[in-house]
Amino acid sequence: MEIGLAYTMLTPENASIRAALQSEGAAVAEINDERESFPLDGLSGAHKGVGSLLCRSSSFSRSLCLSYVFERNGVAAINSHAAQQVCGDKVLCSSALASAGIPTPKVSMAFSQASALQAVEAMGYPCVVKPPVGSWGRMVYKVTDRACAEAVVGLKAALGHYTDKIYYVQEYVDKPGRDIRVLLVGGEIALSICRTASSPGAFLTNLNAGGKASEFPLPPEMQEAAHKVGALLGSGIYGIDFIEGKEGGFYVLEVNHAPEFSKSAGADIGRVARKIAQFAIASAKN
Amino acid sequence: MDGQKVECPDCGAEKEVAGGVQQGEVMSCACCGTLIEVLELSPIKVGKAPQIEEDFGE
Repeated sequence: MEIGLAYTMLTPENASIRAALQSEGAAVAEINDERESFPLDGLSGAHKGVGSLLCRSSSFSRSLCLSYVFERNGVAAINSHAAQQVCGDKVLCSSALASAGIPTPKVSMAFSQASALQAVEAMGYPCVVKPPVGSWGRMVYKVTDRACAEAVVGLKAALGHYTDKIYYVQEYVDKPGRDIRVLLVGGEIALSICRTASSPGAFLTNLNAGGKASEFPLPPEMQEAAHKVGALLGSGIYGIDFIEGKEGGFYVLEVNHAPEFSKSAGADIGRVARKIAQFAIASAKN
Repeated sequence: MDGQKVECPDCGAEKEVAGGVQQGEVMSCACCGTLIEVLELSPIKVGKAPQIEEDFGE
């Protein structure tokens, strides 16, 4: 059994997944998306024996390309190209969650500066403006008043990429200084942690932005919502971010298609990697 | 492999690489923050890792 492991960099997660695949008896075809090129009229000889492809690229666009090409050649991509498209684009993801009845903050999208400011005003202050594609809390802004909105919208308008002109305006949820990350692997909850902001009052809880992780026993209603997300996107590996309202209740904020887990799993990194490896092996098509 | 010293390919700062490091592993320079990739193990050779682009993430 040969499993493809596509990555941009051998991060601690990717190194642990490689080791887990090997200890589960699989051969690993390492696919470095930075160094290799890929024919589009079939898989290269080195990749012809791959039964499933773990898409662990750091880059969303590279991962979309690789998952599509491998799927067209009969390889099970994990996650599927379709699931990655939804997870990697916050507009698609919020729309999918809302239409599936999964609680998620309200979002409006707009495509011009004027309509973006209207969307912000309609959402009310504070609200959150995010790029539709991006991660690690980059360019995620809490917009507190009209002057702040004009600055954020003006900044995005001045940037060069077309996705900067898609304005994603999200309802602000006054969370209790933490959010919850659930790792769903093949329909099984492999990890649940809460991430606490680096300092009191800090907006971002991303571990890359200095947030701290600790174990979190997942309540049944969040477990149910996590499984609904899995059913919505199809069997795969998902990092599901929940936030709680101060008045109770919870929301699924977003779903990550290539979740990191070295900082959140801590000493459990090997156990999580083993679950991912077992799922990749079980998903292999040949 | 015992710990070895390498130079950051960007700022030239010296960095100690722990024994047991794997080929392809990435680390950041404590001095300038550049991501450094282990290209070869014996002798150890490092280079600049792919730098973070706007669609990088999880």
